[in-house]
Amino acid sequence: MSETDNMNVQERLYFIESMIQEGRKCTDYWGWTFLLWGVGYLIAIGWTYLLPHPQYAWPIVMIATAVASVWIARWKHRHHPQPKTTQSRALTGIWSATGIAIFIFAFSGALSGHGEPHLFLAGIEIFIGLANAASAVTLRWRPQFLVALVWWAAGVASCMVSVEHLIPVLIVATLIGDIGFGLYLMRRETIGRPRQVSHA
Amino acid sequence: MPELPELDPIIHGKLRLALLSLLSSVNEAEFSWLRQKTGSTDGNLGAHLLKLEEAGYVAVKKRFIARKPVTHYRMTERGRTALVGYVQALRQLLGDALES
Repeated sequence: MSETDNMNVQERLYFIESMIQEGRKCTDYWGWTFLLWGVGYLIAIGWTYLLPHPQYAWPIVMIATAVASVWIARWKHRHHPQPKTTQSRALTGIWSATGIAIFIFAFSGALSGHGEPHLFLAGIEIFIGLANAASAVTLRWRPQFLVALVWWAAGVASCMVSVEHLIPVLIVATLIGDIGFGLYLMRRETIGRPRQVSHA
Repeated sequence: MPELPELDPIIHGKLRLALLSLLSSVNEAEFSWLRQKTGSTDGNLGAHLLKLEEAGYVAVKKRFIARKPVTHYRMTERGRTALVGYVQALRQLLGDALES
């Protein structure tokens, strides 16, 4: 940008407005996180049923997925830095708090041995629905609210169905709410229509 | 004849105007994000940010993230007041031009 510019008054006002709009564009790409966690759930489910030592499947896969998420997010931030805004801070808060809450809930339930399978899975699904709903309201974004409804419906179903149907319910919710939504986001991103967050 | 408003010379340069406008819409931003948005070189950008800092329009914070120094900039209240004043002055000039 040249210092010796000759913009007239109207062009200056338009320039200021366009720069403010530019600052408000949050082009963070988060489709990959939904896909990663969805794949993580499916791997953990697969290990539980198909591989030895099923008791380690969820702790190991979830911790590995969390580590991978942090690592990829840092890598992306290093290459495509994003400004800090009130809204980005709110979203980080929602997802971090949800992650910590699920971690505490799942590990204390699993370690104590008091985790009744229906309520255990329902609790986790409702937590994920809550984070999606809070995120959708913050972003004023209907597709993510539909994802929240999917997870809440899975939570309700988990309370109602028999034990053998718990995992199919989780798989369906994961396929729609994580993998499907993640792929939808990534497709939007590749065609150049990332979710543009309007900041306060 | 009404007196013409004076335009703040610190903001008047295109790059400094862009920087303040960008910073007005975020809480804080990294140097590399500002460089990416303005398409400026490191040296040029650093010099103009220094001028804004010296005027008290932006505040600078240096942190270490993953053992690498990262510089964050945010607009101060003084900077916001200056930008608002600058926009008002431009609008007044535009209004006067349309009336005459």
